[in-house]
Amino acid sequence: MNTLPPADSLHVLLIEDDADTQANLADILDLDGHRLTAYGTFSQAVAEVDWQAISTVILDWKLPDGSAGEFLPRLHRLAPHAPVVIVTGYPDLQGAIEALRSGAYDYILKPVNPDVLRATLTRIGRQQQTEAALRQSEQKRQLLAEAVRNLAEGVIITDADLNAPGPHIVFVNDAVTRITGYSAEELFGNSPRILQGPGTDPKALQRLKESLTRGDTFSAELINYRKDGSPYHVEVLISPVRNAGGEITHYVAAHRDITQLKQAQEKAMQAARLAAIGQMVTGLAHESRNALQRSQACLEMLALELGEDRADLLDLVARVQRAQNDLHRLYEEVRDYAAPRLLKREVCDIAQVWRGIWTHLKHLHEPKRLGLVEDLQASNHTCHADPFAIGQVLRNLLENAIAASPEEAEIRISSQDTALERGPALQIIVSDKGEGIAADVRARVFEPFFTTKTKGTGLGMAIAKRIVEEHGGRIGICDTDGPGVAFHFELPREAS
Amino acid sequence: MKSPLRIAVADDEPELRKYFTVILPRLGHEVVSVAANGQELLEQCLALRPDLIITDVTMPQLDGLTATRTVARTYPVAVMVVSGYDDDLTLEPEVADHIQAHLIKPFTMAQLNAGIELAIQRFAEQQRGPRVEQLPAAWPDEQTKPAYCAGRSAQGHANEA
Repeated sequence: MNTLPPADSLHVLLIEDDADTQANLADILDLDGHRLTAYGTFSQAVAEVDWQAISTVILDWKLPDGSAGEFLPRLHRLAPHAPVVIVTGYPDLQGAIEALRSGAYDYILKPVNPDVLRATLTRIGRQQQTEAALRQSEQKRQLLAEAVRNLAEGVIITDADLNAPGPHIVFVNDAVTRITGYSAEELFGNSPRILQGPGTDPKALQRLKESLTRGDTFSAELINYRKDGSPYHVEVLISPVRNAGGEITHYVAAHRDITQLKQAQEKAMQAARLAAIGQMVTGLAHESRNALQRSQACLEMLALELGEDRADLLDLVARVQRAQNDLHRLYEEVRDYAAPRLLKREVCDIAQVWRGIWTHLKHLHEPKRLGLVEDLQASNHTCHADPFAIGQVLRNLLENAIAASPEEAEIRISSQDTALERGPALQIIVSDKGEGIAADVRARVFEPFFTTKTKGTGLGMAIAKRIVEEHGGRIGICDTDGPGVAFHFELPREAS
Repeated sequence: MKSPLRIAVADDEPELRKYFTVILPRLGHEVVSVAANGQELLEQCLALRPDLIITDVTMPQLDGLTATRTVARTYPVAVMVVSGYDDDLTLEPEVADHIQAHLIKPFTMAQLNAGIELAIQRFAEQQRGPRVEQLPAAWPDEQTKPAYCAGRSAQGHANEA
């Protein structure tokens, strides 16, 4: 008669004062493999039962300490997960119906028909199984959703419509909005093509379409574009999602931003290339010295041969000599820029360094009758630095200032106490009253081979920048109006 | 006028050998030996005992440093090295401490002259007694400033400063 499959074992709490009914029910439950805990009164049950363990309550309508109608609300509080089945005689049927209204699961009439009881318990068992399974699957679904949402890689799910304008985005995780700058709402309904742009490889996109049409997985590195138009490198892995029937319903794309990785790779490659060029240039500059020496020797001998009376030819020799000097200087500066530099730091007075350099540059500033004005605000000018290297920086700055200055002008050096990220620093500003540097040119002054002078290699400021940065300092052009240009550099007081 | 020196020169480049034979007499000196490698230099110096040796470093058969070191062990002689490398002398002291001056190529006649004076001056000081560091604070004329290196104690080369 019972067509339902046997329910899993339930832990039934029976509260029944009639010994016959209790024994009768106990037999049936025992026979069906349920576990039973039985009490004669409600208060006794309340005092002793572990409510968490109870999966079903069978409650006599009339108990010595009250009626089921009174106990039901308390039962619901004590064991909200356990359905309550009321056992009642016919005269109390009306009460039982009311009990159903106030939350009882079912009622059974006395004398208890074992099949009816079985059917009820089986139904409860199956229902509890289903609920547990649902709870589990819901937890699993939530876990998956959270995992995908929190995945560091972007996940985009689209429908399977490959016709123009392309599949529609139905899901993106947080990483996608972080990578692309689009909100999820902006992306929904759009095609992933919204992320593509001029730099996106059309061949890769063609392959992508072919792969997806075949139902294959596709992977590629692409250039995509953020909402603000900036490009980023992305590694995409797209797989079809099939339903139980094997039909492709969606595509899921893993989207990994590899921009930083790419940049690091490019930087490493550039560094390697620069190191190789540096090595080559250093070798070239060294080798050139021997050739230049041969040429120098021959020029001087030629000048001696020609003698004073061939002034026209001596002039030509002098021109060749000047050209050679320029070439020599260029080679030396390139070598200096390319060569690895080991700073020999010592405690030195930077003011002494620039005064020495200024004296050295006499042959440049004396003919123009230039003056050096010091405006020293720093508490002192002591730094832990390589005086030779810093001398080179100051020489470059002063040479530039001298070259830029009109006659009888002042060149000003000022100093300030300042600080860099790593600690206290000395700021030096070298300014001249020359024509200044146009705003669009300023940013490029520190690039190698950039020069506005007709003389010079254009490496001076690049070398200066390198030296200052190797000291952990900074160098730049002051953002000032007015005539002339002011270079500033900040040198850490201590080596870090 | 300063006293003329008897000078031995060595360079594997013929232009430089010719140059020394033309220029050094004009600077008031006598070129007693012209060698194309270290071996020739060594043999001729041992035979002729010049006052000053001007030599390239990298040469076939025997390098200039080894040749001059061997000579300097047999009798006191002033040595000036001319080379394309400014780190030639940043070697072990026993390799380079017999060198009084180091001229980096390319150099001019004026620098050559200044280098010779420096080498002789230092050599004389060393002969008188323990070496005293005496570097000129600033060369009077930028154009004729020699590229010198006082062996191990040098701060750097003038043409880098």
